Amino acid sequence: MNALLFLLLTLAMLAAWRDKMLWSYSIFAVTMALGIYWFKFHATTPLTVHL
Amino acid sequence: MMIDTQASRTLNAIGLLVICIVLVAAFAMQFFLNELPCPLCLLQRVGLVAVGYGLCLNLINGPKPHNYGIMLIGAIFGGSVSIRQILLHIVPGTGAYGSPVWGLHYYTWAGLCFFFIILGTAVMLLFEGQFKTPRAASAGKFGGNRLAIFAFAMMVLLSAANSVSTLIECGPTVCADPPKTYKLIDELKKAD
Repeated sequence: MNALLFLLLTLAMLAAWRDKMLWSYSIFAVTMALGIYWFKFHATTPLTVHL
Repeated sequence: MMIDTQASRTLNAIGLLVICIVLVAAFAMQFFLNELPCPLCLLQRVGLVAVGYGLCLNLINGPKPHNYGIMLIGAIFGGSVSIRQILLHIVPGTGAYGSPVWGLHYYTWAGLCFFFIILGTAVMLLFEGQFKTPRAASAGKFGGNRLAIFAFAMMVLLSAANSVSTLIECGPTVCADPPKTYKLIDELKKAD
């Protein structure tokens, strides 16, 4: 699933290069939303530490 | 001091190349030291590529304040992830992830990188002259700046390479935490 974030950013760059700015910005916004979701998912995983 | 559109493009291209160097260094650690990036490490790379996306927009269509805004969004995202990881390992007994480089771990270096990206973006925003250059002077994609074209191509290639390497490491589902092997290769071997 993390691979999707890189793929989406690559597509956003290529869309900007092809002058599809609305697509580019939309893809970037979706990527950031997914990134925040994955950040929350991984950041709230219980720690396996023994203090 | 005034910075016109072309000078701004060159500075943005240099910034993008620096980000490319950081991503290449991350790949070097991954393949030569066999240290697989953890899920939070991968999200920090996403933050770097997101900053790279903002820089690419400045290179393609000329500098605009909202492109710098996109860079700041990417840097704040990546910086938040790196601070989270620093705090995870600041607790005694939690150890660290990966080898230290000159005394600091990768996520600490990433945190510093994002701090300097935010600082650099703020400094660039001080130069309003880059946004006022007549259209004719900045006509066409990349404004004919070869360094900008090279930096853009490098960024697209590195982003695509990260997509492929992450797919091989994590497979199509959730990434193992911490990752020990390349999941997709293991699954293909099992299928044989």
